[in-house]
Amino acid sequence: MRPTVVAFTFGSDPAALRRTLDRIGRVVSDAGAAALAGDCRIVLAEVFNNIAEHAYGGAPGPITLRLTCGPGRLSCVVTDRGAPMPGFPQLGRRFPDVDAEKPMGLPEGGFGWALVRQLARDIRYDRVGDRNLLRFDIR
Amino acid sequence: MRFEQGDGIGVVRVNETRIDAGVAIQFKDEFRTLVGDSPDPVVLDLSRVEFLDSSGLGAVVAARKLLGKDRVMALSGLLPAVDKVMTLTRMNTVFPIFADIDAALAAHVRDTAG
Repeated sequence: MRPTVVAFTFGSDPAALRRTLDRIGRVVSDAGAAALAGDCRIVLAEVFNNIAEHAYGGAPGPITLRLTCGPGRLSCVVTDRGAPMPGFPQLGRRFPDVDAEKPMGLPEGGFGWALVRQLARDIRYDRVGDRNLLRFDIR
Repeated sequence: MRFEQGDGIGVVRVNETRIDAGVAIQFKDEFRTLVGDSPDPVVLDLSRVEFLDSSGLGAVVAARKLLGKDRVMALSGLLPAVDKVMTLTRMNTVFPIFADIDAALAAHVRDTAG
């Protein structure tokens, strides 16, 4: 099967992100990569939320995804026009500490990029002009 | 979200199919409204939840903390994507997890009988 390449452009508000994640899931499944659809949704949800919250600071802004679906492999290029991503190389390198003995001290955040690191491969980030370019594979 | 108060244990059924950044705050508010005053342990049934992102996970953790340190929150009915996030983040070591509500209630009966 030849790889399918699809481009998506959408807004960074929660409703648009949900709709887009649903559409992406259908495209991935139709392209014969249904086994990767779950991981793909987790990773893209975190990447998109991160853009919405940090790159655009909660204001609406456009996001573009270029998705290449091959057998057993999804390649993603995510672009936004928000603020640069600070501290990229270290993001998500450590999972927040989870101690079952201390429920009141459990972390409520800090898991997003840690999930991305666990599920995505070959992650590259570049700032190109006024755009952020994030590339990764899911296999 | 729906709360059923049973015999020394409460069950919260989540009706949303996704707990994500778009509904995380609403989730916390509803949970607080429903179970805030009850002294009982709570089973949070996620059997309709197909997807949970890190914001949703944060909301579940916040709900757990709302109960205080002396009340237990168990989870039931985890679908594959939710189970995966729980496992990857090691939150499966924090919450007792049951296949369904009946299994969680049976465990509660065993615990209180013993």
